[in-house]
Amino acid sequence: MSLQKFLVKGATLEVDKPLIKALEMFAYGRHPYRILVTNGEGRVVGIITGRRALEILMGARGTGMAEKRGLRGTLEENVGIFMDECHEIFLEDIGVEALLKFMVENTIGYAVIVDQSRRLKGVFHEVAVLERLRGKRFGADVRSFMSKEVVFARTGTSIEEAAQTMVRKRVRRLPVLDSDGRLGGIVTIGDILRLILSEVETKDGLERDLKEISRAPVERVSSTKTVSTRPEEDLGAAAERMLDNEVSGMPVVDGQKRVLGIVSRIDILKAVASVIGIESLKAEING
Amino acid sequence: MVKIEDYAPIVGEGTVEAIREMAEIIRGERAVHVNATSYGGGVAEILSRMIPLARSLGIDVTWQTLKGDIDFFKVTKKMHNALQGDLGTAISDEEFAHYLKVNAENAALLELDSDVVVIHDPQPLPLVRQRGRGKWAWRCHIDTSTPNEAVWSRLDPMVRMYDLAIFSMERYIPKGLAIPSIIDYPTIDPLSPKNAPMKPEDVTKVLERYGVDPDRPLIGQVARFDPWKDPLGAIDVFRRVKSAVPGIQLAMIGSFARDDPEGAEWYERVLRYAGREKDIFVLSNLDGVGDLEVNAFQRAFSVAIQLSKREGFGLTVTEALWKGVPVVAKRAGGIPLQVIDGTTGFLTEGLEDAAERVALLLRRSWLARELGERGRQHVRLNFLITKGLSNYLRMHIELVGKMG
Repeated sequence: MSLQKFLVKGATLEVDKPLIKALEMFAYGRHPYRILVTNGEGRVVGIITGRRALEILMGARGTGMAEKRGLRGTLEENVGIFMDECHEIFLEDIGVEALLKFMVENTIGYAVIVDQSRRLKGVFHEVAVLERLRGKRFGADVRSFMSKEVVFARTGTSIEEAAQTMVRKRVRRLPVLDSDGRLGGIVTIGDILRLILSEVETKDGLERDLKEISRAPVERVSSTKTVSTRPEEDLGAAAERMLDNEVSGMPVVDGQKRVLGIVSRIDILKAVASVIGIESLKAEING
Repeated sequence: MVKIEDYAPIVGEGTVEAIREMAEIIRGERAVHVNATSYGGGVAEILSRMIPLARSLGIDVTWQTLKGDIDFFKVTKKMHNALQGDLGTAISDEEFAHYLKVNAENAALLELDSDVVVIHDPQPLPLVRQRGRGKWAWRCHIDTSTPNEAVWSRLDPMVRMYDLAIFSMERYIPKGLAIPSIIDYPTIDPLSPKNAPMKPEDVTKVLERYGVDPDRPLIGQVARFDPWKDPLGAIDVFRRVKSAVPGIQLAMIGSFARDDPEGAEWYERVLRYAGREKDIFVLSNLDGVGDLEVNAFQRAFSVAIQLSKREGFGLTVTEALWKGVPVVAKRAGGIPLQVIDGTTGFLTEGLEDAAERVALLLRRSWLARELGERGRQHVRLNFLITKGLSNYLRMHIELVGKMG
């Protein structure tokens, strides 16, 4: 089974580009969640995620930079200062089965593939695997594999509080629940980054504006067109729902739209692997 | 004296240059690291390599250790076990008071006036109560994913006094942690005495010094003598393999750290369990086994085993893989990040399964070679000290702010 046919290009940014470039990539276009940082020779030197960008803007890892440079100054710094080390790097001769095992064992949705000189060859992504499972049903439902500990926000919660929750709890999205505890919307890190970027581009005196806008209720940025699943939905159907709507995770709700759990693409991939086994999974995606 | 450019042949000139540039940003800044012991265990090992390297880059970084009595280290060992999920452990008020008192005494002795203070693990955690200027980070190296709540709730108010917490794995972050946290995978130093290349004749000399036959296959586990590492399980695996491969030998290599009072007791248990079996070698620093000897033994292993039930990360696995040795291990800590089943070693459920995998690799030396080579590449790309150093430099820059 050739690895090549599974690889996608992956979003990249050169290490000496300003942080704001990363923010623009997260906010616009196909708004990736993670960007690989490369040097001038195309070698992978790090990775930056949407959550990392939000941490920087919130001063979550320390306020030293923001205090000294201001938010605008911080956004002008090289992305290389803020990126994380990438620990999911593999040589291009690695097998698909090995990558599947690595992802499933570690609940990691991607692997970065490089040549011997660490030049990027592509990204092996959970989406490419799930795409090949389209049309398949596994006789197992979402209920057994969803996470029941749901981190959420209430209607009226401030954007700042929602952002802090996502940073502290290390989640990418929050279901927004109304006063009856029903799903009213979803806010993602991308939604908040888009809002911040729009302020950067249109206003002066960013620091003051950021404080003001972050006091606004989360409904200002959350989406009310929610993608969700039901506990009894088959794993295969749930995967397709996420692929069709280009979301990496979704709440699991009952008939009254009460949130029972949350499930992500990698949860589904892990679940399928545990139901049919890695060998069969490999055969399914190859077929 | 270690220099950053020495790593260029292994990780590339670009990586080294990027580290130099980051270090330049905080040149002259002061940083201090505090942990429990200067010898034994992964933390001391990481710091013993990381600190000189950071200093060589112009950062004024020092490493200080706690002074404590045996009662203090008994309490902190209990704390360590409780944070790793031992629900049966309780810390009395008296014990906790002693823990705080020893830390308060140390706070008066240590030089903690620094731009960044990094406190490692729970032993020196209360030093933060005497914090002055500078930013404080708590680096927790153990698996705190399901801590003993009674013990965690006593530590949590002090954790909240830090600016940042650093964990080895995403899932180790305790629920309800109230301060920002980051993930930093531990790494190994390929140029340290424990990991640097060795001549085959030097490996042979070390084996012969300890009575190990270099002409017969050797398997081994490098780990503290500690119930979490399941040293008795390693002996069970050896006995099962021996029935299929009669010439097999086992090396159990551990060290006694000052902060590990249980070590001696478990060492005795391991010796008793090994009995009179002449092909089991139970060795430690007390037998003169230092970094160089561990290096030699790991290079001599046909297969490394790691049967830990809990691991902070599993750096001894990283070390074995770096030496091109396949690893048969249980799913603990960061082991599944390193041991990819069937690619760099095997992940096993039980001892029977582990023994079968070890025997398979002994029968098929070509497979062991293939897995070992892939393991080495995996470590080269993902778990070498240059990544740890880069992470540290970025943390420092962001905590204190870019100068100039």
